[in-house]
Amino acid sequence: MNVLKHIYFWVDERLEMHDYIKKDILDKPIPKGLNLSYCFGGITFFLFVMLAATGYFMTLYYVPSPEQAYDAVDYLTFEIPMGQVIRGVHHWSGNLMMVTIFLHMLRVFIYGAYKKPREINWISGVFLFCLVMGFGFTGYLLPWDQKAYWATKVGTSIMGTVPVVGDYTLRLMRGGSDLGALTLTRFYTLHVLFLPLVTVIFLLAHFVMIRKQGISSPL
Amino acid sequence: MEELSNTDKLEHTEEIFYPSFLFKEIVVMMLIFILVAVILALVFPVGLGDPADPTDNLFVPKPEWYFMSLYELLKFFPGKLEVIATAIIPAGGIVILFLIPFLDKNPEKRPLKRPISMILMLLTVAAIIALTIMGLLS
Repeated sequence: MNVLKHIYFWVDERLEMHDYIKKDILDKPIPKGLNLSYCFGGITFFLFVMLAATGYFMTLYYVPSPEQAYDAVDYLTFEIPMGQVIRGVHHWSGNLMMVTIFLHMLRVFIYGAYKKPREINWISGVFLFCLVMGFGFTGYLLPWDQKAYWATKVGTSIMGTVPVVGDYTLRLMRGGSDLGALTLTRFYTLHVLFLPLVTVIFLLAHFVMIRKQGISSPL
Repeated sequence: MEELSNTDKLEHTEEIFYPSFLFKEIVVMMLIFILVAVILALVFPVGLGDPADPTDNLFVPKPEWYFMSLYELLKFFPGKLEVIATAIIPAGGIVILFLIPFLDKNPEKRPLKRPISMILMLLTVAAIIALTIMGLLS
């Protein structure tokens, strides 16, 4: 412990971060008596971290091609030590996140925490909600089993029926008129590169705004 | 003049983030970790279905539960009305979500003093839950 303290102060002597950490994070005043419903946002973030951690491991084995995706998922689930647990944690964290983000939004709505001056943070939260739905939709295709293939086929077909923009959206999502190799590459890249990057940016903004504006006081 | 620390400036309705709330949050996160990693992932291990077969037209797909309410909505708007379920309600819903702080400018925060907001919220939540359950059962 002393060693850790020593290293911490050695680093701090050079970077002078301690005052900021103490004043702006640890000693930041928050309203008294926050109940457990105030934890839903933190839980959602924690699940995001678990999803990222398990997701990174799965990319070590996953291959985004129709010929190999299924076998890769089969291998990483059933042959790799702990593979089924890692994929299981990813699966369940994702499902649970849908519940916790919904509860977090309900809590913010019920407590009126979106009201002035926190409108911008509410908007960043709605963006995050859309991103989470995007993760769910793109991730579902990746195992390339029957359920994945047909659910995505039907999902993208439904989008295709929308007037004016439908046909374009369908082609954009599928990478052509049919669901195939390009679709899988697109969904994979969205799932592991685009969406995580955008999500991290919005999360940072979300957190900085909470720090700046403080937690909306309970009623 | 020496600068006051945050702790000295606290009002009686405030406390500081560490350790009280951070501690609570960490305990909850550990419980979630146990729930997900130990209970769910081990008791309900993920599997893998049959490999995708694009020629199999008999497979009846069902969306994941979190898209089920949208999918179920399609059944209420057949034929030409389909666009209501595929575009108008989902896109309109998201637009309304974005606009909530501007549609509701009443500074009152207490839920019981905002009956209209609360009723609309309860109806929306009830509709989403009902559609999801109907979809899962069908």
